[in-house]
Amino acid sequence: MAPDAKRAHAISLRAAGRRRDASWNRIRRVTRAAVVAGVAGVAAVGMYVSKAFPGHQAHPASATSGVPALQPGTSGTPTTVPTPTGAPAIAPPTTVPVQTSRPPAVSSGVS
Amino acid sequence: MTADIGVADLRYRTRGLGTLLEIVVAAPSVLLDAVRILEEEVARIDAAASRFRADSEISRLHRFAGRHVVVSDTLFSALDAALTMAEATDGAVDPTVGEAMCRLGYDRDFSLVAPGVSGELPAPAPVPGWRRVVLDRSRSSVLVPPGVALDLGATAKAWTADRVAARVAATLGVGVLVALGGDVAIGGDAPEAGFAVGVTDRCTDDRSAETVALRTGGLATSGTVVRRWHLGDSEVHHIVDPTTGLPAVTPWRVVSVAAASCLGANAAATAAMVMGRSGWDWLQSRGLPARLVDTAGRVWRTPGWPGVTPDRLAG
Repeated sequence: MAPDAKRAHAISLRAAGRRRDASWNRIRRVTRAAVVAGVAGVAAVGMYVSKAFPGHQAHPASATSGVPALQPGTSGTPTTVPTPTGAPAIAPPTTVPVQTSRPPAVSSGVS
Repeated sequence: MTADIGVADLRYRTRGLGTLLEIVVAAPSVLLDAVRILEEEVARIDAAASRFRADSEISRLHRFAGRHVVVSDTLFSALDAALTMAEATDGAVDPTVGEAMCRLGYDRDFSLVAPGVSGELPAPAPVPGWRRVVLDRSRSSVLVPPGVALDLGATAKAWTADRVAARVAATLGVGVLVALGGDVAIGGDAPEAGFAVGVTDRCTDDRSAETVALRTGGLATSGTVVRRWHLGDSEVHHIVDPTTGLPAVTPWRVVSVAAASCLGANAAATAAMVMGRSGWDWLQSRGLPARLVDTAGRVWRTPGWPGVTPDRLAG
């Protein structure tokens, strides 16, 4: 083979190699993206299902009946204290007690 | 329950929840209907919140510690009230004292504890704390962490008294007074002169130290003069200080408080007992009419309570 033909052949081989490498890189990127998207999708669906259908977990019986109780997990809005609604929880009476000499109807004492 | 109906004075007296239950109505025709409501509500709270009944909801809640459990409206509301009072009293009235009560021997009906129990006073240890109990309103569920035992003894009777009074007033349209173990709630339109309520050390005392007339809200008394027992060689009582898990060391023998509700009155009275000397200032800072009797028998009255008030709390 003539030197020019050899050089052309070598150039052609390198070009083909570059195209092959580029193709593999594209395939890897697409595959990686597909895997990541798939895992994220499965996780999202899993979280949705766990919130929408918490009862599939093992759970205690209801304290009020034989009906199984719900397992709210993290989907509910648990609170450790009632939401304040304006008035203080312990407020003075709207009418104050007054002394009386009448016989008491009942007694307030320790029981 | 056994009953002693006195229709002539429009009053019904019976026993339940381990104490004296009374209801007074301002119209004779509705007394029996009011009694029916009282008995329904008392049976309901007993089935929901008694820690001495193995079949109560609260006992089952303890068995499922660490999990959310759907509970009845009665237990959810009673727990809600207990946590509200815990917050309002800065934790002085805490429903997580159940385990501390058991360590003191009060783990069964008081009639079985009164003769005394064996054991010795445990080392001081704070109770788990009310913030660890989780209520989920959206599902009416409750989560009690493992190792936490609830005792609604400081709030359940008063909460029930308010509930009975409100229900009688709403359904029967009369003024009513409900007294459950000395925790007094007024509902509806009271007589013009109010309901006369004796203020005593014990709710079973026939003679009262003084008598006040109430038209609204509630009146409750807490103290250490009853529910005392021996734990080994130590004499203990039922008002537990959540910071130590032991019977509160307090200068007060009894504290009576009037408030907008019986629940608030009872929580405030118990909180003042637990807080000790600072309870006096705490009651005044909230504008609550109160009568306190110290262990020497001296009577202290906050502004708003009828009578003479000493200038300051003596040393």
